[in-house]
Amino acid sequence: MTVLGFLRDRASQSIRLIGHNKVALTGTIIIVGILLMILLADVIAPYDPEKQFTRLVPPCSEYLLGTDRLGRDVTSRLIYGGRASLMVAVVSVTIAMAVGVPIGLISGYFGKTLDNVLMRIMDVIFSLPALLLAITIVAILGPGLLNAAVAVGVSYVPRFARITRGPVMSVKERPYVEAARAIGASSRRIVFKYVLPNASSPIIIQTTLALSSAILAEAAISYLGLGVQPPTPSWGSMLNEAKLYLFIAPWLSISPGIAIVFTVLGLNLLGDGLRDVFDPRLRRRL
Amino acid sequence: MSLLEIADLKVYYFGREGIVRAVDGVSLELKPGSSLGVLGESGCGKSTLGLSILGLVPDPGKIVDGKILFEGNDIVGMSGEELRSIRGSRMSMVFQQPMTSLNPVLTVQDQIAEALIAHKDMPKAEALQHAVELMKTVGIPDAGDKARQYPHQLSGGMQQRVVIAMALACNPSIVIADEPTSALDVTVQAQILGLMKTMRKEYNLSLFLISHNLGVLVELSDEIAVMYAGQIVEIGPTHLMLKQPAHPYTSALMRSTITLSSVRGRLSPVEGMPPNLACLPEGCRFYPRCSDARPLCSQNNPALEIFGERHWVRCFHAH
Repeated sequence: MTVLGFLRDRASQSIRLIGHNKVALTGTIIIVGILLMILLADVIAPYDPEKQFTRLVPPCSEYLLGTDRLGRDVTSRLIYGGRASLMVAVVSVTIAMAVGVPIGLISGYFGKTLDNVLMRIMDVIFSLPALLLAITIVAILGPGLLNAAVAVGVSYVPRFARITRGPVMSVKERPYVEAARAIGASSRRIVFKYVLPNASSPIIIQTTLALSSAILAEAAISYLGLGVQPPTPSWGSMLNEAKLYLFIAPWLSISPGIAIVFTVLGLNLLGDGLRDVFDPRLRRRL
Repeated sequence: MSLLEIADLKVYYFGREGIVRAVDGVSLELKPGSSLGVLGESGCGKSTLGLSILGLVPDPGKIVDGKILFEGNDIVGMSGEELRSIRGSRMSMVFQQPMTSLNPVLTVQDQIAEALIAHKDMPKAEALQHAVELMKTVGIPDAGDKARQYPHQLSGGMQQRVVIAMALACNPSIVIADEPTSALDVTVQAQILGLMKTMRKEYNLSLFLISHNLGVLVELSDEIAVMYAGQIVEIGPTHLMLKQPAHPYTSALMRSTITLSSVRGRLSPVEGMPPNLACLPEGCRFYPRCSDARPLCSQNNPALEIFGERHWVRCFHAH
């Protein structure tokens, strides 16, 4: 079997398994819907997100979700705004995982001095409030969407290191790891085929949680003018602008709020479902 | 030449409560194709002995002294790389709990193939195919279907058969089995014992069997070594040990075992507890529990001395 064929088999098996798991399926539908909306923004958005019309028009047939304080169509801004929000979320969590998971693995598996050194470094980063740290990093790197993503990513590294280390420490003591050693498997094989897969549930859950909180972190950073630069929309910055008009134009806060809630819900459902799907013990028989 | 020769092996655990002498001067010999059973209570060091043969003494344990010659090479001084090339290929292990000694996220076929991929550089597809063959050999029905299942989908007996298939994958010359049947039902125990007997003949295996169950050892071993508090107190051919146990501990163990042939009324347990391996009594280690203890026993620990043909005993007044 070729590598490609093997991957294709694995992928089709995963898709079939997700189809059988209602939670994972619901999550997938929500996330795929949002992704489609963002990717097809140019086609489905009714107006240019930066074009100005009458100010503060409530939702009506012409402007489905109303217009904001500068008269821009909220529907269009919501559709385009998802791009910035999700980009920051995905990039930052990818960075955090790519750095944090290996640190946690090494720390938990090899232990001793190495563990101590790595974990103390993580503690130092952990001791700073994530948002404050992210803002400091953006201030150093300069404002911008990608820098904001990097900043949020770095501040989330300790979470992933910690969440990986714990289960790794417990899994490496299981008899099947000893059994793997007894058949002469190399450390690398043991780490990637025996330890990591059995320690992955909390990492998957942490990923979905981190994605949701990264969306909110992006909002805060953009609010301070360090993330997305106006007039480019993002859900976070829309929400922050809307705050001032909460009583006279509540539709401005409701729509980006609902968008964030749905994305977070979709991600959490997907995370829960994926954990069930990839754990053979929780998997229902097909 | 002997396949495995252990000489004056000492394995200590350096824990917080002090030094635990789990294996304290054990010497053994195993000829190719023969089998040796190690009998002892929990905590007498028999599992540590088994693990040290594979070079897998867990932290904070260390091999302090002695030699483990396997096919003429000393395991004790070997590098991790050298050890790994022997483990699973020349010697392998069958563990006590089949459920927990199988990786829950891999199919059984994947796990059996693991050793083949690690040692024989077999392409994956071929290794998986070979794994199914092995499953047939160890008597798993519908091996083709079962191969793609996960460990939790199999019964305990089937799981232990998978573990045995893993151990046999690379045609090892010795298999170390640590309580291979203790976690199984009695009927399944009998099946697994039968399987191990057949495999032993078929693969010309040497067995190093560890158990607290005399019945299991009698079934499978040519020789039995009785361990007490980190030391061998008696070692000899199985039939001799059964007929005339020479050490008071061995005879006490025999009296505490149920046999179908002897109707004796009440079983008599061995009184007391084995000593704490971190602070051993002076003199003979069995002295505090011995029904036949004499003043000399409290002062000196007897040496393992020859008692009969290939029969050694550690007791001042063996009879």
